[in-house]
Amino acid sequence: MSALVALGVAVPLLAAAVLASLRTVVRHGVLDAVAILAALATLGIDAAMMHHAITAPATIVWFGGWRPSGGFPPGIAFVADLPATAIATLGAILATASLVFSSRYFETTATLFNTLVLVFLAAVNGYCLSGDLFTLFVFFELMGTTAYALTGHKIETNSLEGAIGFAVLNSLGAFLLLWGIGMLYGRLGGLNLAWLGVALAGAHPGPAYLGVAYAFVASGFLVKAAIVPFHFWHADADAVAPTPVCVLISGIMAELGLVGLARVTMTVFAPAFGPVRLAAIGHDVIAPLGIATAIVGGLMCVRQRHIKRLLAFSTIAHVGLMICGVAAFDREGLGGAGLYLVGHGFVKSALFLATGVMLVRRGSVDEVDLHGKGRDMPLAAAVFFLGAVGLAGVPPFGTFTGKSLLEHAGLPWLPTLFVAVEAATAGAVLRVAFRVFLGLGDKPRDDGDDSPSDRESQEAESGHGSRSRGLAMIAIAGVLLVLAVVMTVVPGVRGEALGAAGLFLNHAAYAQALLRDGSYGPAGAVAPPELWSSVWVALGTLGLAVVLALVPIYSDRVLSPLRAAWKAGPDRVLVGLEWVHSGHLGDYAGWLAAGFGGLAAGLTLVLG
Amino acid sequence: MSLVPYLVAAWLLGIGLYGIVTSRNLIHLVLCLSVVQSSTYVLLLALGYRNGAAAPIFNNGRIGIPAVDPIVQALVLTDIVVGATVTALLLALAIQVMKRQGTLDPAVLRPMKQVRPSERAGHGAEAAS
Repeated sequence: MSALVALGVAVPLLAAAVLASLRTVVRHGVLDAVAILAALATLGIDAAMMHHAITAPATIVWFGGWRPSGGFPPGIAFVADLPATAIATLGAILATASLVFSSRYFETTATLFNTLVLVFLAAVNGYCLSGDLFTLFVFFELMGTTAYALTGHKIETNSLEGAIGFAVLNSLGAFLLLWGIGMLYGRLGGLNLAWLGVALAGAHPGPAYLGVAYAFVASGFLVKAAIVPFHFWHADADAVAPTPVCVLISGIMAELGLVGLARVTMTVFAPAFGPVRLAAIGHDVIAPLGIATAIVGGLMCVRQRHIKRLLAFSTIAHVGLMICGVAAFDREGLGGAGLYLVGHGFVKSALFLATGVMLVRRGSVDEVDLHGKGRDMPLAAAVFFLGAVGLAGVPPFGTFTGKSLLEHAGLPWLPTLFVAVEAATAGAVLRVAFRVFLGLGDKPRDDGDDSPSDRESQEAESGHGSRSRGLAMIAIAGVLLVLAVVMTVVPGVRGEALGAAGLFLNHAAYAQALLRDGSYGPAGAVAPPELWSSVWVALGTLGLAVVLALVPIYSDRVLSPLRAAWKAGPDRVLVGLEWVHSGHLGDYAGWLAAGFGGLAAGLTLVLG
Repeated sequence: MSLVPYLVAAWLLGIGLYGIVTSRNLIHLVLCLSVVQSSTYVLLLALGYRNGAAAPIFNNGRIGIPAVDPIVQALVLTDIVVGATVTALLLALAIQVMKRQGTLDPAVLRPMKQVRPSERAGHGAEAAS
């Protein structure tokens, strides 16, 4: 088992190196097959580690045999506990799906695409398993760099600009994280997560130091997680990246920002904060950011015509919901957020892949252009409709499982926020599905409000796809939706998630295990709260989503008198919000700087 | 303990961020990102420095003498490698943007919009920064 922990990173890296060196010598189809095999092997390794972590204590590996002596760890540790391995497994599944999809999707040989995805997968594994702050940073950067290259992979206009914005903003976040690491190391002299937690608590730091250090560290993760006001890169990048890359960015990478934040907060900062201040930070600093993210994401999502950009904003909204769950810093919040993360990853990836199929078969991802053109594509329609149901958090999808736990977290306003935001995003996807696959409503006028989808870039991606090629691609989306259901019906999954979350919150046990050879876990299952009230809420959300989907389709006929009032008032706010998402990189960097400053000030106030 | 290196690091962070926010040229913007990165180098190296200490090389029986912290030097080296990769990637992307759009002005380049011919380099005064 200890060997497996290292192999999770080594196997995809070695495969990537082999593929990069053989790419001019071996046939393209063979390269694709090797890449998919390597991803499947990594998936097997991650799944085996996850299975082991359910019933046995977490495997802790000290590289080079550098075990802690006298309580100080000179070496670098990997910790394979249940949350880490579960999320690494999600990453492996999505990377495999991305590789299988891309082998069918790209018409021309994608030279280094497979290599980059495998390196990304290796970085995801290392990031999830890392027990050392700087190792976490290195894998964070590796994940980011491969994602920048993958986004700009098509080397054409919009992708390049999206990739540049993505790279600049995420790099700024990484440098802020590095400043935080510098502050911590300078004061305490170590980099191991558990050790930093113990040392920081023992140093009794003042609120200014704690607030600024946490602001630096948190900003790095919040940029990656696309939380307001650090979120501007996400929609631009997802809209222009090739479809298999969107799966990776929206399905796993943004969520990993959240996972990193939770991990570092609980291991490094929670012992120094103490339970009272931790709850205060969650409720007064992190939760408002999550609420703002969920609302901005939901509002912008509804306004989009470009389907990929719409899905990107819905990811921002859902990650906002997840971070609210994390902000509760209790078992239901963290466990629910974890389950929701996995369910959302599957559902969102399936939707992106279905959009990719639309692009190949019909040559566009614009809702207006595609009006009625999906009528003879029943499989893609099924994926879109089921995906929208999944986004609304309806059973039996994994999002419902997570939501049923989150409703019992210590935040009374959270269920209402969930209903509103999920109804908005699911409604937007349903609206697209109604228009494209059912041809409902009149073809909307070209309002010219939105920036027009770029025809050139979308045509470069699409081709005259054959029916069988489309079939293979939509099958992968179907498999992801099936997985979203499977994760719900597996018995005891909510209990295990609650147990794992409880263990995650137990930073004393983590420190004991790493520094003094204790054992960390297994958590064991905890009896979950009852399910049925959540079912009614979920069905209500779906109903609201259907209404929100139909209103814009039929608004011309039904709501003409209200339209003038709408344009004068609420519409102006939404137009203003769109104007803020200007696409100008300098503006985005300014928001990032302002966000960091506000975060530092807010944290110092809350901690003081 | 001298405050000067930390003030320099803070200044580099601030001026680099300011450069990115107000930049009118992508190459300038990427290099401002390098300036922000340099602030992390200065910070980390300053953290590890000891006055009057030697380099952390301990062969030939030199154990026991005061030395600067080698950990931060390793961190900085790793950071430089990461930074070089990202900068190289960004500059390559910027070159491709110039080839296709004819301008490097972030105010003109927006990911979802096409650049109008009047905004290309050579037509406007703001092409050079």
